[in-house]
Amino acid sequence: MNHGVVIFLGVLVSLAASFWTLLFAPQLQLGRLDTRVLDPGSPAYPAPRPGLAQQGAHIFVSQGCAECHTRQVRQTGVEFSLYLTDPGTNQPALAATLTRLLPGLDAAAASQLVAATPSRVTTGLTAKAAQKLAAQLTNGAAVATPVLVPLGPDIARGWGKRLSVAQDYLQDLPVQLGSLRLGPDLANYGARQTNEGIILTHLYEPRRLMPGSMMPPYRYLFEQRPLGAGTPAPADSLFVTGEGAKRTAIIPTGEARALAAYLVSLKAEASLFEAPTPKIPAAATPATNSVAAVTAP
Amino acid sequence: MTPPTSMPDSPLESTAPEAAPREPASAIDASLRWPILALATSAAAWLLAGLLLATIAAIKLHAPEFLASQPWLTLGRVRPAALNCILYGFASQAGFALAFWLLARLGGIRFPAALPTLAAYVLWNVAVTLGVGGILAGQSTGFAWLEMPRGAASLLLAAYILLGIFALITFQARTVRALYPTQWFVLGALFAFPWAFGAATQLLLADPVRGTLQAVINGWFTGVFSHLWLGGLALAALYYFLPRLANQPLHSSGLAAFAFWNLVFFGGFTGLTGLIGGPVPRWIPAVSGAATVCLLLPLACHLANWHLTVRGGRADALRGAWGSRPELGFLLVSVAACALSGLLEAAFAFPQVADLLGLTYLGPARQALFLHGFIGAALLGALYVILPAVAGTTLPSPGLVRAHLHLTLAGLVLLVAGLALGGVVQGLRLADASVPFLTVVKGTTPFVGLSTLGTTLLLLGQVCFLVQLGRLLRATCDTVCRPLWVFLGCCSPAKAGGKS
Repeated sequence: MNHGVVIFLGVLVSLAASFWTLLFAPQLQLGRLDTRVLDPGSPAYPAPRPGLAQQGAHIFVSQGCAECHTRQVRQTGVEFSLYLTDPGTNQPALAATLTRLLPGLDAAAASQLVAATPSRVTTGLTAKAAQKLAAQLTNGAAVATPVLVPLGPDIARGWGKRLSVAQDYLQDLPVQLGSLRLGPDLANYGARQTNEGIILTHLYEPRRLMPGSMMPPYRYLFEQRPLGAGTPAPADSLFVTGEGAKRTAIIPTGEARALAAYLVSLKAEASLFEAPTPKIPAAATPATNSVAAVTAP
Repeated sequence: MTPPTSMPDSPLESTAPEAAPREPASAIDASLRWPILALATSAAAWLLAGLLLATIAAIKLHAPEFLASQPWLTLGRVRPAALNCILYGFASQAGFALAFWLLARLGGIRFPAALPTLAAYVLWNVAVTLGVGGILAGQSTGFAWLEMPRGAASLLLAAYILLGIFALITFQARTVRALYPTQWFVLGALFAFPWAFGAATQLLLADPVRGTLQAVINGWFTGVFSHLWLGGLALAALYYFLPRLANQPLHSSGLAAFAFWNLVFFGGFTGLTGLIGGPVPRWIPAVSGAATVCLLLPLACHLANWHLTVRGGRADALRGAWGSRPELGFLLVSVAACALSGLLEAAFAFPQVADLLGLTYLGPARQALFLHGFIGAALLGALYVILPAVAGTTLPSPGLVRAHLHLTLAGLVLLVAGLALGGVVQGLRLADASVPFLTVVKGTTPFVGLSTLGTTLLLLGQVCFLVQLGRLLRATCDTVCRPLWVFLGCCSPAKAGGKS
């Protein structure tokens, strides 16, 4: 190894190997992804952000929000729940089958499940077990439907209904997945919070709505306009602080509004082939929509 | 183990029959004086700036109202700015100083490009200033380790190409043809930087790819940058200075070659373990994780080689590392951090660990251990040997070196331990969805406080380094600029006469 050329070629070859493996091969796989029409008639997913939200994306990067907020929901696994969607014509027989198949279920609870469809019969099943159970619950043309349920602390915290996948990021530049969770995950922030007023207030003074919040305030994205006593607050002000002559209107700047619009636009819950969102069967009539009230055994 | 009788790979003596006469070491050092003093001074200043910004960021993590009214000092800008100061301002520039010195010394020739190097050095510093300024002004690109605006990145690459060419010219013109292991690592680093930086800026900034492929390229870049560029330079320093300071020949250059090629091959595949569980095809982080675990092999080779080198000699080979020979202490800190960060990184290649602790403070803890421990300590230790050599004098304040070493070690332990413990607590609570998120974040505050203290100690140590460097510069300047000093009345002629 007394020649620089050997070392140059060695580094070249090994870097080329990693380049082709980790950059080119993923490009062949991920680079083919394109927006997809999920439901006929609806726009392709993911849809481009509206103009103001697009501006907000730049503010998000410029303020370095991704230093503390990730934008990726992770999931540790999936399980299946079984929903009874149609009790069929022979409800007593179905209830009897339920008590036979599900050891912990007594007759009263079983008949309640049968009466209040759609109802969640059981959960925590594997795909195979769910299919097997569904095939057994067919007394009198009854229908039981397995539903896929993503698992994991992120899902349990309500940060998303499913894991984030590559398809969700096709409209983003830069893609900032984040590497540190000092604030909640924002992949689906717009699904949790749609009130721009609350978002703006949170940006101005995080501790106003969430005492003890560790988020830095972004007061410099707002104009503090002194009002004095008696002057009415401008229509575009967020709120008014102070009393009497010290009254001050807090007015969001364009940057703050754009950032809020961007945050509202953050949604990644569309049901995809590779990441289905759980579809809880809808009730036949609104009156029997009592999924939440029914407890599983 | 008896030391090998011949010392063919020792940096202590010339290695091969020489075609051309080898220049005397003092002449080589003199030819490098101004480029290295300039690079080292800037590196030290950038490290100070980076640590100052890191301290501000650390305080902000437990006191969100601290300096909250300044847009350019918001947490989301200060953290990447601090990191860029350290990566490009400090580590890369100190690395260049080290590379030039090693290539000239081991090649046995005077540095041929002092003036052009100074020009490229100015360009590099302009680029870093524009980059860090751009981040603080809100023009971040949003890509990790590549946050600087595109213009600054282009300028940086241009400056790099110049500096790299000068390094290669020095290498090519060497009179000692046989290569010492250190030179492999330097060359590997020099070749890896432009490839990684060029490819990443092209594919992320100039002609961006779509979707999460950006995150993949970003991760690949950080992997190559950290393991081959920064890691290569730090290993070059360790392979040269450990045998030299222990006064022993390197145990085995064959083992070093094996480690080198393993590092070069697997190093290119690392950097993507942060995507385990993320929105990319699973095989990508899996391949990267396997490569990260494979890096334990070269790590074990390095450690065995260094251990046998030091142990093969006298019992007092390492004596004085914490007292009279603090530069050796820096190298030992670097070796320990190298081992520990390699192990931690390999642990994060396993999905069980990555799922639980991946998005917590353990990430910054690993980064601090790698950058301030492995890279930083190796470069600082090397600079403490190189600087007096090129200045042609002894270090003016040996006490400050010891203070720097002790502050660095204490700061590093507090910083890394604080962040790591905070990360474990954070990860365990994040995994339990019944713990409210605010409780999770608040639970890390005491540990962040510990890390803030650590960062402050590192900052103080760095002040010691700058004071030392100032005195050294002044002593060096005395001969050259004495008339100017006298003219300006800055120091008396009698005081200015102390230069060698």
